[in-house]
Amino acid sequence: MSSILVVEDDDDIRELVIIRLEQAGHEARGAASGEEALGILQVPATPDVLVLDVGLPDITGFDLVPEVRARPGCHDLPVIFLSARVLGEDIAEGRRLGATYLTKPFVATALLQAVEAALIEPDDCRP
Amino acid sequence: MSEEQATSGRPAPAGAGIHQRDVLEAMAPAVCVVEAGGRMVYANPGWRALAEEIFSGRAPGGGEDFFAAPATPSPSTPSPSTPSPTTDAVAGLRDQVRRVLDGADRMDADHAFEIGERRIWARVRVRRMKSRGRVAAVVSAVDVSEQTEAMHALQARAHRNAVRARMAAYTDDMLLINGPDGRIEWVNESFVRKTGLSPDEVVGRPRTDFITGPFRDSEEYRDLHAALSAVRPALAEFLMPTRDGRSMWVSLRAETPVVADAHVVGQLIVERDVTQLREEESRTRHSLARATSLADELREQSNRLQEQLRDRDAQVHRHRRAYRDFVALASHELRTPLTAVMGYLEMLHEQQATATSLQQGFLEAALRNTARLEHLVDGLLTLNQIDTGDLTLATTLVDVDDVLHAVVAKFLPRAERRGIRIEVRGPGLAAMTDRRRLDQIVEHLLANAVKFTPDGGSIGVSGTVSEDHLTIEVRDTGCGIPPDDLPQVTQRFYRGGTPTGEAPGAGLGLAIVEELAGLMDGSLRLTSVPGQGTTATVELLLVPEPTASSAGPVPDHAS
Repeated sequence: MSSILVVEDDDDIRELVIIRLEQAGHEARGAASGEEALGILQVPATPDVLVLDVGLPDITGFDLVPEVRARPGCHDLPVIFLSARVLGEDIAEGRRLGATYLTKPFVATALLQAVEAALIEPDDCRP
Repeated sequence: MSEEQATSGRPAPAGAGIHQRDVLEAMAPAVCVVEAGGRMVYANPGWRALAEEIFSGRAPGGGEDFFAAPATPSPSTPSPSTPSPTTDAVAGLRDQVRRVLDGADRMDADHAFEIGERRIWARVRVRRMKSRGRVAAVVSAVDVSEQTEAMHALQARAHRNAVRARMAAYTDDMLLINGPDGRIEWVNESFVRKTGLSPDEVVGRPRTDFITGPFRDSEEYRDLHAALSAVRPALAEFLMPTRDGRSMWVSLRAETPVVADAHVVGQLIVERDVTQLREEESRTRHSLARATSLADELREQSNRLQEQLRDRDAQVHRHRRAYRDFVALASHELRTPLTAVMGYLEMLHEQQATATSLQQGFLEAALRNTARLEHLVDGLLTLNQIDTGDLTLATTLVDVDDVLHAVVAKFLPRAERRGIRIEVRGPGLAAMTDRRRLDQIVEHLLANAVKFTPDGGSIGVSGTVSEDHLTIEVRDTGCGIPPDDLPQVTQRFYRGGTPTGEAPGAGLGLAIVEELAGLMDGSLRLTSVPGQGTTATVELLLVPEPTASSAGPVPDHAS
């Protein structure tokens, strides 16, 4: 069982993602903004995977990644982007940050596969 | 005219000396008598003077042999070896006398003698007579120099007039001859014709008298008048009113005066009617000015247009950007609620056990239509990206079989429900291409095939890799496309009827496939037999070798 932080400002989608992850046996928590996510990451128990939206109200997911990785113990934290931004440049930017990039709408199996992959070989996602 | 003045009006040359004048006075007439055998029996003083001059003092005077006397040339003869007029004259004179003594009644001839620097023409008459029972020749000579030279001058003039007449006939130029006094002596036909002035009114007057109009008040007119009066060369161009009320542009050239024996005898003036030339020049200048101003205007207009074009360009750019941003935003904004709807419907659908078959049907319809909505959003975004040039290809080594099977898997539930069999035959090879775009192409082609294939039909999906091409073929046993519609099916929002009961699409599928194929250096080909089916063939040019930047992991697509 692993711990996953879902950063998503749309309540329904955040809830949907959490349900899917919990159904798959993961422990999932949600954050509606970048600030909230960074607040959660301050406690000692850091998550195993970060599922991150790009269009957050206070900061973009892209900008959030370096801040997250600067936290103690989060240097290697795997990131999975789950975004409605489907342009090539956005996908490329996500990959440049060493993350897996999924586009919305998503199929549950694809999300779960990405999480499994991140948990097994987290280093695979690094550039 | 000038000829006469040059000859008849000429005084005796200064170098001739007093001796010659004596000869001339004594010479009219000179008489001598020569008997048969050549003995000169009489000579008057005139003859003696003449003989002395001609025969260098050893001439037969009286009692001497007319023929035996040496015919020594006059000292003034340039060279003894070349026959001078005098030598010829003496020979002619002797011949004349000999013939008469030999039996002829009379012999008349003119001879030219050179005395000093002057040539004297003598008219010699020889008459046969008897003197003291013996035959004799009476020789008389008169000076006919003036008459002869006048005649020669007349001949020369006649000749010159003939030349002039011929010249005048061949030239359109106006020719005038001014005398030494700067007054007109002669004008040609062309002058008369062009100016309307008759020879009678112009001869004896200065040329400049016949130039009227504004030119007369100019400095150039005064210069021309002065030059012609002094018989100096001159050039001028002026506008001259003619008799018939026209205005003629005349280009005048007064030649170097003709000088004979240090005296000016006249001057040739050549005038040319350059009216047409000037008019053409003026027209050309005018046209040039117009052309120049037109060019300026055009340049200005061009600048304005360019400016407008730049503005328009910027505007189009702004609009295109706004459109692109709008579609991107709309696509993004639509995706978020769509994600939630699809996600929750998917969860509901998974809980089939608790749902009635009616509810399941409703759920499936809802899922199907959210999928359609997703495709529409994707299609619009893709076309927008193609239109704005924002669609970039990400080439990687793609497992073509995997793509074909994955896409077919998406359509299998629908196909199975309607008893449609889908057969997949992959190339068993990987190819360098853009996985996401290949995915889209296969998906759109297959969506169409399923849509138009009746229940129980079959669809064949195949992929083949040749040297540098990947060929995807989707064959269905659908209703086919009428030949008339075939060229239009790749137009955006073009929709054929769907007789299969499937929901109609937005009409973007084939448009997207064609655009994507073009972007990937490939093409879409459609062949269709109405009632039997359609085959869509997409040929894509493969990228030759994997590059460092494309060697990353194969992109993962959840949709």
